[in-house]
Amino acid sequence: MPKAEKKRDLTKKVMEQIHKGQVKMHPHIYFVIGSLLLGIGLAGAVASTILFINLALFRLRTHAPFGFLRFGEFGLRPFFATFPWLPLFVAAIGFAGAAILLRHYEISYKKGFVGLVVGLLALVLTTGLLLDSAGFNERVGQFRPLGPLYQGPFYQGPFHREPFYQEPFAGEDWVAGEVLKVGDKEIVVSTPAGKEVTIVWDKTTRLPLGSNFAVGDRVQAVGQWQDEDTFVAKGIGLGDMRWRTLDDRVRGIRDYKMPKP
Amino acid sequence: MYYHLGGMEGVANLTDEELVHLVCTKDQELYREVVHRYQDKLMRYATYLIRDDARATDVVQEAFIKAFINLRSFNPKKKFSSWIYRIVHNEAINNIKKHKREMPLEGDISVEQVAVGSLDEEEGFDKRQLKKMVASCLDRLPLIYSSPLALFYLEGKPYEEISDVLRIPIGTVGTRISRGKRLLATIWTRSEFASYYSLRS
Repeated sequence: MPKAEKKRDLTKKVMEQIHKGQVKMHPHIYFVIGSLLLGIGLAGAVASTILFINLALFRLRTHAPFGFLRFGEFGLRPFFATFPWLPLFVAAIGFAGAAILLRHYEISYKKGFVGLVVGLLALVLTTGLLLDSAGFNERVGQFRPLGPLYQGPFYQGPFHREPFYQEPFAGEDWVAGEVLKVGDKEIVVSTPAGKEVTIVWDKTTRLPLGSNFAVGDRVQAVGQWQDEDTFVAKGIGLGDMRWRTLDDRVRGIRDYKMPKP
Repeated sequence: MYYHLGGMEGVANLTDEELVHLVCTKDQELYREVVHRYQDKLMRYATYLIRDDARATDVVQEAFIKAFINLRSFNPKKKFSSWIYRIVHNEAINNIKKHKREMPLEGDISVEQVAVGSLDEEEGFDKRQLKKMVASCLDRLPLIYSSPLALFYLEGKPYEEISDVLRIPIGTVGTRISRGKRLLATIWTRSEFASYYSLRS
């Protein structure tokens, strides 16, 4: 087919579809709504990433999961139980979603996409840290609908129940708390949930930082439960858990500092 | 139909952006003029990428249809040319993926080898030679280099527009054109030597 005919043919085919109503122009509002939804989606993805990063940082601060790794194999289960896997996973999904939505904006290729992603990462981490430092989690934990997410010690309402993804400050083979009394080869600790537990040890117990516990120290212990209130430890160590009690919250934020061995 | 614009001559004098605005607000029949203005260029560009007339025609037709459907999303402050080239580019990529055609690099040539070894070869070519090289050897380049080369040398687009069409930073446009030129130089030289020796034998 000669070139001129091909040209007319293409114009004819396109205009034919338009005349027959086979193709219709989208109205302007369609694109306005699209832009709005894109913006809301991006803001939502960034906000949820910040929220879950903040939650993960809160969990890392209050549980200090890496402390359990000192106890070798006995510390593995409490580590996995207390590490904030789910908040980090949700934050990663939110971040990926935000990065994908960011691609739809001109700025993503005009200014360099990698730089934008790094900037976004810095933003969510900084904001998450600031929120946690400002006591956001302690305040929000008092709201009933979010209570289970923030666990027992900060939730005082009648709807208290175990968080769906992690136990509070005691598990099948671990417990953490603040020392109330020191005895001979035993200490009495209070978990942030207010439960008093007597932790006992013997010569086989692993004490990576010694056994000179003092009242007010925060400890992590792995082992097994003898009964509801007594815990036989296979390992006890000073923990770097930085939870803020309700009294602290009322008086002002007072960060716990782990004593040097 | 075009009496209020001074007839066909009046329409021809409108910029692309003004024309598109009229298509959206007054007379959809004016889209014919848009198709008329761009079909040659877009057919040429699509053919550079796809190397098949029939498929290129389908791609351009589909691109015009999609452009019409989404015409109200076009921002008149931007260049219409970049916008419609972008649509054709995406359609061409989809078509290539559908037919699973991706031209690999020539044999044993890698970008790194060429980048080091072929600067002298490239400097020996003037603009007309480069244009000839691009036109004849484009199908032997990967899409990542053939697209910006085609847009720059054969369509005469500036870097800013190529950046908008391909949605890559301007710096990356320059880098890909530069690397593409080096690859082309090597492919061209080898093909020239091959032709020379085959003629001699």
